[in-house]
Amino acid sequence: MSMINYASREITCKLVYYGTGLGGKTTNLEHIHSRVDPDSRGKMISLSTETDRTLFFDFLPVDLGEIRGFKTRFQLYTVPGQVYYNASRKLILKGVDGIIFVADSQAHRAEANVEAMHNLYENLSSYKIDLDQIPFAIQYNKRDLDSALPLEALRQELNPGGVPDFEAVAIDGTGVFETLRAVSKLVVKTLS
Amino acid sequence: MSPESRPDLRGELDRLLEGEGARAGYVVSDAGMVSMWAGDVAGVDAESFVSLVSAQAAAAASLAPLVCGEEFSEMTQEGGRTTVRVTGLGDGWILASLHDTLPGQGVRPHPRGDKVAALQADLKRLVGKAKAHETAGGSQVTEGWSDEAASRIDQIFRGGV
Ligand SMILES: Nc1nc2c(ncn2[C@@H]2O[C@H](COP(=O)(O)OP(=O)(O)O)[C@@H](O)[C@H]2O)c(=O)[nH]1
Ligand SMILES: [Mg+2]
Repeated sequence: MSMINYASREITCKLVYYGTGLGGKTTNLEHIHSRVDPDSRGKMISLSTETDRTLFFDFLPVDLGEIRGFKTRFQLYTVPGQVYYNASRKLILKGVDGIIFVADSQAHRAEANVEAMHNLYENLSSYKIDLDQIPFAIQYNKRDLDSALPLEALRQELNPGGVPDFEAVAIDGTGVFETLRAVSKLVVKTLS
Repeated sequence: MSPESRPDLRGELDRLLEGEGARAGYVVSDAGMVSMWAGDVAGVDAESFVSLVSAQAAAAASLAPLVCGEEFSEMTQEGGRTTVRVTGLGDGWILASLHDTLPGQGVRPHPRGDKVAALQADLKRLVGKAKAHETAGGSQVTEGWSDEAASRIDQIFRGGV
């Protein structure tokens, strides 16, 4: 679904960070924003409430420069996690090329993670997209917390299909770029 | 990071925008990507502008049936100096145009009735040409593109400061 514009020789790929509210999606984008060379990235837009909850989305464009004659860029989006913002989530998935599911490792968020995963399947199916068929990775975030479930338990619950998955501590950046690189590479592979 | 437009389509879009009294305009696809632009876009952060405007248009498109049972054909947001107008072009495509707000008068009135229909028809024709052109000229990127893109990803997303 990547937009290839042969007229202007541009390729734009859209990556969406999905997952339960407060799982760390915005934190992932903030870390990326802070570590990518300012020449390569655009402005980060966050549409959030006063209490910092994502209201509509966060958006961060990254320019990969010219690759074999095509100006190539990635657009990173997050969705709002709150259950009642589903209409917004669905809109943001439109035209998606790759998805990063950010799971909250804390035991008491186990059910919320599963719900968010179901919601992702459901929303994608309304666009006739099958999660097995598009670049997808799972990030188990908040591995620093004592209340974090063991990795195997999270895997069993969220990743029966064995898609690429990563442990992360988004607040200090651990795992953030590993996850991003993995999905980005899967996306560019689908273009050839 | 303004995308380029094909010169001939851009000339056509220029004329349409001029007829509309617009200073500049972006034609944005259903996936929120710029297909064409024309006019004076100096000082506009195109990517931020387009991502926000297309999100807003998409939200409005879902909103309309909830409140009036139909679609909004256009939205206008008036600022002190510039007014943004979003016109639906069908299939989720939009034209986001920038207009000078005239002191004390607001914005030049938008054409109504037949005229707006004619404008939309012209724009749709233009979009059709752009779509055809965008997908012409080969179905794939050149060989080796993905490998090079992957190494560029390693470089830009390496995570160091
Ligand atoms: N302990 C810990 N807190 C985190 C981590 N990642 C994010 N947070 C915190 O979790 C809260 C929610 O994060 P946010 O990125 O806004 O979540 P979002 O709703 O998914 O966008 C914030 O207070 C973050 O600082 C992590 O890896 N460890
Ligand atoms: Mg958020």
